Amino acid sequence: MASIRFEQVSKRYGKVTAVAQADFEVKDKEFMVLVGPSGCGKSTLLRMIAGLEDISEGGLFIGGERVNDLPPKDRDIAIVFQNYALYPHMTVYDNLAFGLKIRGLKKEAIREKVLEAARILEIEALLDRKPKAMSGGQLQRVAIGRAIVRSPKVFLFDEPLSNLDAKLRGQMRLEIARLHKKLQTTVVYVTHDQVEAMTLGDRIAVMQQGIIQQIDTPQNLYRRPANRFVAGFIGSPPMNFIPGAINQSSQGFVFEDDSLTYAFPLPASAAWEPHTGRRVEMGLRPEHFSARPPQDGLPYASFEVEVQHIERLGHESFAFAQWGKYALAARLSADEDLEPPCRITLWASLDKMHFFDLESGRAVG
Amino acid sequence: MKAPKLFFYILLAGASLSFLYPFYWMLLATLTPEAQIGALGFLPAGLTMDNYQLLADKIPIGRALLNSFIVAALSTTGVLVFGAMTGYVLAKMRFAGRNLLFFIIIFTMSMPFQLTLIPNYILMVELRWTDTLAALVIPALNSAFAILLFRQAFQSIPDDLIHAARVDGCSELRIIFQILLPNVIPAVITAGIITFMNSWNDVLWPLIVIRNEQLMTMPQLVALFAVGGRSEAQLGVKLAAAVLLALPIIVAYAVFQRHFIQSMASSGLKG
Ligand SMILES: Nc1ncnc2c1ncn2[C@@H]1O[C@H](COP(=O)(O)OP(=O)(O)O)[C@@H](O)[C@H]1O
Ligand SMILES: [Mg+2]
Repeated sequence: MASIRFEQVSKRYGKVTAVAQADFEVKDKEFMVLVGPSGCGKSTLLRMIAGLEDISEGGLFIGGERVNDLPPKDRDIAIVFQNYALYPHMTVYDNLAFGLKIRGLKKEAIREKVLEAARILEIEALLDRKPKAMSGGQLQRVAIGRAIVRSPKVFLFDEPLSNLDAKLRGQMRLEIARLHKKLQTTVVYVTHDQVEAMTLGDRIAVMQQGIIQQIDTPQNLYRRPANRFVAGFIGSPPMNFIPGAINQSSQGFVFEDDSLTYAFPLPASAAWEPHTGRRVEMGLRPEHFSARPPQDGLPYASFEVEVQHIERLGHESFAFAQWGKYALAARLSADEDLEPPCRITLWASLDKMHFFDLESGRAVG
Repeated sequence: MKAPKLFFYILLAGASLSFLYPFYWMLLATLTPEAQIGALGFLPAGLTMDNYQLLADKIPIGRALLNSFIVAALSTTGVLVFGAMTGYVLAKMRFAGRNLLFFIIIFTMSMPFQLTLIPNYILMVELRWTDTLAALVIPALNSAFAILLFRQAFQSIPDDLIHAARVDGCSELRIIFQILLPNVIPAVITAGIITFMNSWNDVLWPLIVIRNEQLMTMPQLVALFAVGGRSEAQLGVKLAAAVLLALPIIVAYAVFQRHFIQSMASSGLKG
């Protein structure tokens, strides 16, 4: 049983606030991903869980116990670092065994645990080697081995795959997911990579400038981003944003862009009322455009665009186009044979549009 | 192409000869009967151990050798232990006044030893440590130079290595001695060699705090012997003392040659 609860936890370095009033819970056995741009405070949050960083304010609870003043070794956690942080002067076996030795386990018991961890991670052949003589992928396996050998209550990962090449990263991602299923422990996983976040997390906490913006399942983050930052962060290429305002016309509420060239009707709802006349941004994901009108009978909008550049990925293409004075990115099926520059019409369902208050960034509607 | 190279070698050979010849001559002279020393050139003239025998009779040279070893070994151990600890704190711990503390330590390096000689002596008298080896060992248990060296070395070690050790259950001392030191071996060797040599060669401080002949170190005893009257102006005996003084350093050099050169180059200091 090891849930992790943050109660109004803040961390300050002098005048810099690295983490501001984090208040959330990681459930027992949950795989929680912390994601956000570099410098947003992810590692700081993780190090506070580990006890490597003092908590300036608030309370941190692991398994219901307040751990603010508990040293790292007594928290029953293990951590995997981006740059592996293996002991360079020890063999792989000793790297794995070190923590157990310090805890005073018998030689035989240590041997058994180390061999078991080595077997799970398929690093048995490396046990006599020193870190210097290994590749990045092997080093990361050993680092994970060092974490699992103690069977801790909580695993912490700080960007463990960032130093690996793309192919290896994909492999290790799968393995970490498998390992979590097998070991059934609580995991907090830090990354700046949204693909890792989306594929690994039971839930994802999106951070920016020390503040947790939204915590939800990958699907919900994608479908209902709470604010403009989350909307722009999740998804690649990122969501398109068109500045404008919500106005009331004779047909009901409409979104009008800043140049007053375009207007889209909004679904009838009283939710628009408080935002009438306010400046907002309309957000539309590239993958929600299509080069053909949608056939599902739902209301849609059309965009006359000038395609300027196209990236062909084989199974799909990304079109980068100009729509009036706005730049748009659109994902198109690979069948669309376009020779930019060219003019085409893009279509998108109205219900795929997101709206964010320009001032607060919060989702509206 | 060939000629300049040959010329270069001749020059080098001449230069090294001019360095080595005095040593060779000294060694030869100690093995030569006193009467023949004046006429000594390149070749031995008679062979005798009398000079060494005489030396051992006149002064407790064996005892001094032992004292020097004790003092140098303890100082070196102390400097490695406490220098590493201080260097770790300055490199990896965050606290108010850390940089100020570091600058003060660096500043003491730039102060000539002579400046603190008298206050230090008074301190030894007050503590009643004069005429004990404590006066030689205890003030030498840490050094600004070693602190600087360890601080720089530890700074290049990523914080996450220390974090990993802490999560593994290491105390701060274990982090320093089991995790960090094994990864900064060149710094350990440099600090070790330089501390040992400084201690071994020090004359001034022992002269001030030690009067008891049984507690004197090699360089102190040899210096007193050579300039004092007891050598009775016998060159061979004086030189025998000098040989015994230089011998341990020469042996150490032969063993740790590579590290010596490295440590001189990396510290920018002459021992
Ligand atoms: N030891 C420290 N001293 C001062 N500021 C720090 C320290 N560690 C991190 N910070 C600051 O805290 C913020 C968050 O850092 P970090 O948690 O490492 O971000 P991330 O892991 O998301 O890239 C950054 O602005 C960083 O400069
Ligand atoms: Mg980080």
